[in-house]
Amino acid sequence: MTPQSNFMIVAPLKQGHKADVQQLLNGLNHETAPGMADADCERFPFRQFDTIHFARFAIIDDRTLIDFLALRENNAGGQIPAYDITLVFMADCDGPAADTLRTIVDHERAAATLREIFAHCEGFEAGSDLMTWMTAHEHPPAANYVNWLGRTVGQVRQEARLQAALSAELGQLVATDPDGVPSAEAAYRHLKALFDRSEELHPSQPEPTPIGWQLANQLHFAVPIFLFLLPWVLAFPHFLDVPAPLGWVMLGLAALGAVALVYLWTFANLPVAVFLVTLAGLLVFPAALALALCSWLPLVVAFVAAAAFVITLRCYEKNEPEIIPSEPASRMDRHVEELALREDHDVTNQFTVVGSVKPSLFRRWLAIALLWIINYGARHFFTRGHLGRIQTIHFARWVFIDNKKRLIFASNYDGSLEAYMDDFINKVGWGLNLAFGCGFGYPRVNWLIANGAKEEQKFKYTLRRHQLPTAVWYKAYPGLSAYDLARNTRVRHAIMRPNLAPHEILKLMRDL
Amino acid sequence: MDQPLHLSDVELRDIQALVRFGQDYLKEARFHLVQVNDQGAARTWLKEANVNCALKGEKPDSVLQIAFTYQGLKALGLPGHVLDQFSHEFRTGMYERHRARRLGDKGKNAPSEWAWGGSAPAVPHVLIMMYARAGEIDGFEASTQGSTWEAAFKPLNVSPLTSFDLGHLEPFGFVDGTSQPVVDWERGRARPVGQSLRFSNVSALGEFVLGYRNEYNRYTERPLLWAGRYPQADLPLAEDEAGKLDLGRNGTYLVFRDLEQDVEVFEGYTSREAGQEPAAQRKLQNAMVGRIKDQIPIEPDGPNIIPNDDPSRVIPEGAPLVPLDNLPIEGVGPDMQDIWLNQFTYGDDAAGTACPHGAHVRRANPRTPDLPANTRGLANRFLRTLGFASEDPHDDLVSSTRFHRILRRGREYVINGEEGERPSAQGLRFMCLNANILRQFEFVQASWLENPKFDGLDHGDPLLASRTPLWADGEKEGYLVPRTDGYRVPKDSGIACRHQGLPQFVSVRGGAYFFLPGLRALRFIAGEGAAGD
Repeated sequence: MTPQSNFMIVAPLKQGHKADVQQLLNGLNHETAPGMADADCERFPFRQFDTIHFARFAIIDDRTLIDFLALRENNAGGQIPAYDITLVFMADCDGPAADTLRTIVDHERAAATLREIFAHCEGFEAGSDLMTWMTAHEHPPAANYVNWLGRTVGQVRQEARLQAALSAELGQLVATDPDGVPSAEAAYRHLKALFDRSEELHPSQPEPTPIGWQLANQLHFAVPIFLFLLPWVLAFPHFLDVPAPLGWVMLGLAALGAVALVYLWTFANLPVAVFLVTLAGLLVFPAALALALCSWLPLVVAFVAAAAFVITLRCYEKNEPEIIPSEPASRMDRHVEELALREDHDVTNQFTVVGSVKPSLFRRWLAIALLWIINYGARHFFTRGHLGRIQTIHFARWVFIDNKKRLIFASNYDGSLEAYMDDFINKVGWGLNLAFGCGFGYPRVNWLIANGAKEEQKFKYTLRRHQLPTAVWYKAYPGLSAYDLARNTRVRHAIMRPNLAPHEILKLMRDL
Repeated sequence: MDQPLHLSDVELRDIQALVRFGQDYLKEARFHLVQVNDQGAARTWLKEANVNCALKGEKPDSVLQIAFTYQGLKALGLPGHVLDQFSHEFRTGMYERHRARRLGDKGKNAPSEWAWGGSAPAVPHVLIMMYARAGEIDGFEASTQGSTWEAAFKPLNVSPLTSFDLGHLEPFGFVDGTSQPVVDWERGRARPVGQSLRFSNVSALGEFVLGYRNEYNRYTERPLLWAGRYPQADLPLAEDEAGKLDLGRNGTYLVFRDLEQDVEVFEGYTSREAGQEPAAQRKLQNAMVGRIKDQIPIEPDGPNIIPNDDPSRVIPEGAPLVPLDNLPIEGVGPDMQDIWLNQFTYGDDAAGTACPHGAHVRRANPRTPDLPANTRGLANRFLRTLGFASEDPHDDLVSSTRFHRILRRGREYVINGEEGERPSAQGLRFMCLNANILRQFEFVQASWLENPKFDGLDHGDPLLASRTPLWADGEKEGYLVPRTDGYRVPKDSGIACRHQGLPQFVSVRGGAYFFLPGLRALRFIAGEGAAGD
């Protein structure tokens, strides 16, 4: 398996160079579809970089910074923060990001175009080494989501061709069948035979998973689990001394944990099960320890710590002003037009938003912690086609810039923006609140996950206001949705199997 | 703190009749699309117009309703700060180019091809809807227009849009208006977002009338005026903001799309695809629409039998292709006819073998609850909320339906050709009411009907979607790019029946977004009490 990686190069533009860069970037696009990269463009032939799933250039010029003035009325500062207008170049790719960057740098024309673009950025000199400069300006994501871990661009294309070929063949078969419709069994035999003799349809062997990545990934998963479980390990000797009736309670808790683990594992996946059971174990740990020690102390400590956090959080949530200024209609119309121009050309759309973290240390640390949790979840649990209930996101990431005072969110999603917002609110409103609740200008969130996105119109308005026009956007497999990719993978798995049971044949036929 | 929930007669007297009644008993209708000729004369005409309200009572012999486009409100002199508070969609109009792309108004359906409404100068200002009993429309029209009409308005370059009573059928021969949301006029309930496990046909009043709480239990944005600034205005107070007059209250947005249906092409294509067999053609047409065209006898142990059913009944025309649900659905019934037509969901038809996923009525109203179908038990619910425990690849692909309902108020039309000839044009004057154009009408049109990837498919709505191909760059990669002119009918055997090359059965001839104001707001728009302080 080839794991996916990403890069985001962030560099401030020289004063007054925004228009020039914009024009330069427009030159990489299709003439008929604004914002859509011309994949065969002379100056930057995206299609030739076959490890790139998605790539984009965007100019980060936050038009909402003026909102900070509203704080003045609330006697909480009120300075408009000064940030440079910033250029962002980012991509999601197969294998190490450095390898993809190296390929781009080694491509004469692409490198020349990048040099031309970065020449408008602060600190880029004619003599600068492109690779070194870009690496120095990389910003790693605070949280990152990949729709299907390990599925490479090559695999996507091969599977799409395979599905299309089998689907077309099935269509032919039906059209020429004397009875009108062949049986599913007969059709499967026919397609299987076709597949077996068509070398060109055979998918290439997946690369072995890099050992280093595998190890790092497993450690990333296991270390927090281990730390969560550590109190149980340390307290274990005390549990052995627990007198009989309470000992039964402890045993019962352990048994419950085991049952939950097996249950969750059957319906979700093992990491989710391990994580949830460990988390539950952590929550009851103070009680267990109190039982074991026959002392109230662990409970008191846990209670005081939890109460302190909750009180602080609620103070912030209740007292922070909700700043959602209404912009003049004409300005908002122009902004929306600027965005809509670049939307709904393909079945997939891009989304780039920028915002500031609420101006307090508590909020900044909370944002860091929450995004760490989101990243942990996305990295270990949501690796097979869905982020929470959303199945339409290909790649998404949250990146801190400007000393963690600002946050960029960039995603690639299927369907219209309104459908995306609808999913955000109705399917994963709790997750959006977790991720953006610390954002300045986000509708008021309670208890980290409640309200917020449920303020439907405020939420949509805020996100639209903070959205930026993506100057250039590239997708390696136009016309294919995330559902299509998953379907094509199912087809490949099925047709490669030596034999299928009748119910599996039925499923395969439904996917063709 | 909250206002009394029950809707008083005062409010009903303020809401235009169309919001509550389809006026089906008034068999004739005529829709005038006009521009303001003279502001003063137009205001006077509007002030004197006898517009019908939503109060129940004796059925009037004729009904007059009035709606405005953004351009119309501007021409009538509504101040800029009020205009700016209308929704973005209403202000920028149906013809706006990026919206047109999203709605599928491209190729032959592009606004540039429309007879009316396709560009700013071609947008009507006022939509004047007249309904009368059969044979009485001309008289009603004359008396309504009166002597000041000519001075007030000038017609667009299209003659008044007519309607034609096709009985209860639409031009393709299917029963029309089978399913409508039930409006919660009593304002009895608020449902938490993301929690419902069963589809409900009842919608919050605020989904269809501005100034009331919607399905999110919030007030949809609309123009509010500082009461102090308009001391003369007779407008209701906003429920959600103190000191504000609510110009939107009791009004709503009216979406008008003039759709021409090519019956010959529809019959011709389906006949060819079905191998000239009438029964097979019927079946294909049913599969495209998602309801049955003709009534058929019920089978005693067939799938359409429900508890306490009448075994001698027939399956009525317009019945769904999926079996009826044994449990009642909120907002369906108690009328047996309604139950036979609407007590169903697609929850048990994930494979689409009973009703194709792409069938028109399944796309336009997928009848999905908030959580995925068949979520049961606490643990399962928890996992489903996180997106796990999926049972079928189609699980949870479609949004919750209750946030995307529209009230349809369209009328069929037939323009007759020469004596004995086929009609020269026929179709539907599609009209629907909604409080939020973007979330309701546009969502249904763009994300459900037009989007070829709806529910994991590879084609648009068989009736309404545009056939213009998608972005075709994928062909360079050597795989097929989804065609927008296909149709897929899943079969029990697993091998779907696939149809290619669907022609455009329905084309758009015109359209615009209107504001259908409450009656007090209408008088305000006509200049009464609008003078600022």
